[in-house]
Amino acid sequence: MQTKIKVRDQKILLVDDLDYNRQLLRHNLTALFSHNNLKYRAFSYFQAHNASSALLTFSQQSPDLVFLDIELPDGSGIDLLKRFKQQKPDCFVVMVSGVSTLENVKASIAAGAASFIVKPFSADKILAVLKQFERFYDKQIKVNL
Amino acid sequence: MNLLFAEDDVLLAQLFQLQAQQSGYAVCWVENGDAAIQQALTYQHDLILMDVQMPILDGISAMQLLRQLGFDRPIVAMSAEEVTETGFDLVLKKPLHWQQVQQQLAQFEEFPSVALQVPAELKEGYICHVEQSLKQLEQLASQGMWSEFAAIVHQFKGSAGSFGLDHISELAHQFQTSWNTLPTEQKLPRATWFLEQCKACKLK
Repeated sequence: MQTKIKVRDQKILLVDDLDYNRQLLRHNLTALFSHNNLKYRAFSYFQAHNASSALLTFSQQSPDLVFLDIELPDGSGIDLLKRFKQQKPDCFVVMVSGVSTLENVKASIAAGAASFIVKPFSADKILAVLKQFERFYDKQIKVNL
Repeated sequence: MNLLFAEDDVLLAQLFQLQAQQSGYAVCWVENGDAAIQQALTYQHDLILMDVQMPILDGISAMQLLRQLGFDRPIVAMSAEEVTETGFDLVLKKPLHWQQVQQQLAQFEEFPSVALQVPAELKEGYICHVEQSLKQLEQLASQGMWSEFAAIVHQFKGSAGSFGLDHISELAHQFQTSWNTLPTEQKLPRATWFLEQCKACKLK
């Protein structure tokens, strides 16, 4: 049995213009955190439906993990990613897109994305990202100790 | 075990597929590093076999991009030359001999697949959203508002598959691949065909 480590509630920001996508992602994040031996299980969720609302929520909440859709109605997710990384360089940002072109992937990495999910969502994709986040967060805790 | 086989040599790929499938492996074949990245990010494959020299994007760059994105599944290089870059789990020397490849593959494990949970009420809500969007698309088509039309179709492509509406997602994907290069006079018939196909799909 894995030891649960309670550090503090982590904050997750979900940015997608479609409410159904955000709800689906949140539901599956909660389910995966509960059932897949992940260490960190306490979260607060925040949501945004466009770039301007995402920027405001990010500034107010300073989330640890962000799922950021690349195609937003009022701006590019890549531009938003750059601003997030300026504000909080250690934020773990997962880019989400229906289009995994080389251009999108390279631009995401260059702007500081930690990972990339290609829509449609699958639990395997989300779980892979959560395991990456766990390793990343473990390292951060060690650095900050 | 599901293998992703990235190789631009068609004959080699066909031979590998035949041998691997006979031994019980499922093989997805892609011809370049760009396609390998797109497939890898679906997380449907337990292991990637990556040729080093490929068009569009070579195997080393593809591996490096995947690792930068935190991709943690095994990537095996295939090359006649020495491969010194870090990031590969193993290097297989070309020419490949299936029995040797099979012996090496035995050290890797399958990744258990987890099913996406789609609550019934959420799926119902999404289906209503699609039905309303189809009505909206009819209006947009009649007014020739093509950028708005394409934006909604793009949203279908990204979201419909997550809610189990794979047909709608696939139709949206097909629509997108040809739409931008389509002459203006062909946009209405193409849009009408798309809407007819969507309506023919069983949503519930």
